[in-house]
Amino acid sequence: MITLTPRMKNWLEKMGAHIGTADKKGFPTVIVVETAKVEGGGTVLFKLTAAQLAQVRANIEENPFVALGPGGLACIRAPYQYKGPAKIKESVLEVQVTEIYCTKPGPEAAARLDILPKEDMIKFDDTRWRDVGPPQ
Amino acid sequence: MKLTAEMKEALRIGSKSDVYVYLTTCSLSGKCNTVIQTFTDVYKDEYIFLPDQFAQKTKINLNENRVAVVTVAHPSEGRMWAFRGSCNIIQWGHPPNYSFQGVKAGEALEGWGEWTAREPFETIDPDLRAPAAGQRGVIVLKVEEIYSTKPEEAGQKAG
Amino acid sequence: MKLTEEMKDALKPVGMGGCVVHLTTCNLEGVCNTVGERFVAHFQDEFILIADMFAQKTKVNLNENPVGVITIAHPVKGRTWAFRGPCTVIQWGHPDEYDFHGAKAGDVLREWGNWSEKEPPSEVPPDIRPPVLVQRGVITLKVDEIYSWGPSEAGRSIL
Repeated sequence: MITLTPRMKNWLEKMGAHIGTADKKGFPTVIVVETAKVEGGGTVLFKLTAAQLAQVRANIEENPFVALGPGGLACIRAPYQYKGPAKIKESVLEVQVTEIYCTKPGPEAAARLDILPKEDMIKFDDTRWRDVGPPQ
Repeated sequence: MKLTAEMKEALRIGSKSDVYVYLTTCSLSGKCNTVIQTFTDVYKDEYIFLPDQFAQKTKINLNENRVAVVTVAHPSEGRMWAFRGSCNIIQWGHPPNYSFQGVKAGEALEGWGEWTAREPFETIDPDLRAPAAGQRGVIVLKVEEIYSTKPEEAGQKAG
Repeated sequence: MKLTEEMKDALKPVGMGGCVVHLTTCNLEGVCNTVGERFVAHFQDEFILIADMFAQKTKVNLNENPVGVITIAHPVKGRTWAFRGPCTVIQWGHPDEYDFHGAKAGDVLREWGNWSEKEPPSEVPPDIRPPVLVQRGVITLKVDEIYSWGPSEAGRSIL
C-alpha cells in the first residue's frame, strides 16, 4: 500500500493529470482531468465528464492499468509519474497507485520511488523541492 | 570481494586479453534482461565499471532492483566466471560526493564518464561499433560473489 | 495530417512561447507511460519532434509498439490538443535515408540531433534544469489524428 507524499498529493489534487490509457493491443488514448482527489494515501480519484467516460471506458474495462502525468505546471514542478490499476465507479475514475517514478530530467529520471520506505520517499521529495504544493 | 589478477586482466581497459561480457539485471518481479557490453574496467580490485551508453531495460531494472551479474561472453575459455553484486548507475548530474557502495560519483565520472576518451571507439571492429556514444553514466557493480559458469561446476565459488 | 500555424507555434519550448507537453506511449500489453517533455518542435507540416535525452520506458515501449500521444501540458491557454500517430526514435546511427512516414533520418538529425545547442534550456530555472544533456536521438511522431482533451468535448476530432 503506497502513500503519496503530502507534496505529491497537493500538486495532484490542484492540477490533475494527463491519464494514459490503452487497449489490450497497446493503442493509447489520453484524457486530461484538471483536478483530482487523493484518498486513503494512495488512491487518486478523477471526476470524468460524459465525453471522457465515452473515450476511455472500453480501455479501462479491458486494460485497467493507467499512467498519470501530473497536469499543468505540475508537469515540471512535481515531475512524478504514478501508475496503477483503475476502475470506473459511476463517473469517477479511481486509480490505485502501485508505482511511483521520478521524471525530473537528470540522473534521477526514471528512478522508482515506491520501493523506498515511506519516510525516505518523503525525504526524497522534501530535499529536492522547497514548496509544499502549487502556488496559490 | 577482490578479483584475482587473472580476472582483472580479462576485464581491465587496454588488456590484451580483453573480453566481451554479459550484464544481467532483472525487474522487481524477476523479469531478466541480459545484454552484451563491449567495454569494461576494474576499479579498486573489487568493482566492475561499464559505460552506460545504450542502457534501456538495464536502467529501468536497476532503478527498482539494484543487483546484477556480469558473465564473460567471449573469449570465455578459462574465464567461466559470474560476478554478482550490488549494481547501480552513477550518472552525469549526481553530485561528486554521491557514493554508491563506496564509489564516489565524482571520481567515477571524472575517470570513466567519457569512456571513449580512455578506450577509443576505434578499438572496436567497425562493423560492431556504435555510430555515436551517448554516454549518460557509469554502471558500477560491486563484486560480492564470484561463481563458476562451467557446466559441470556451475554455481561453485570461484576466485 | 497537417498542423495549423497555431499548433506549430505551441510546439516549441516555453521560453519561446510554446509549452511543455506530455508524451504517452505504451507497451504491447497496454501498460502506459506518460512523461513531461520540454524539448519539443514541429518538423515539416505533420511531424512533432522531442529530444531523446532521458527516455527509458518511452524507448522500450516504442521499440515494441511504435505509437504515441502528445498532449499539451503547460501552459495550456485553451490549447487542449492531443496528437496521436506512429512514433519512433530516430537515432544517431540510422542511415540518412532512413525514412519514417516521410521524415528522413538525416534531415531530422542534422536539424535536431543536437538540441541543447540549438535551443539551450536557458529559461529553465536552475532547480529543474538538468545538469548534463546527452542526446541519443529524436523522438518523432507523425500526426495522424488530432483530438481535443477539453473535458466537455474530450475525444472530439480537430481539423
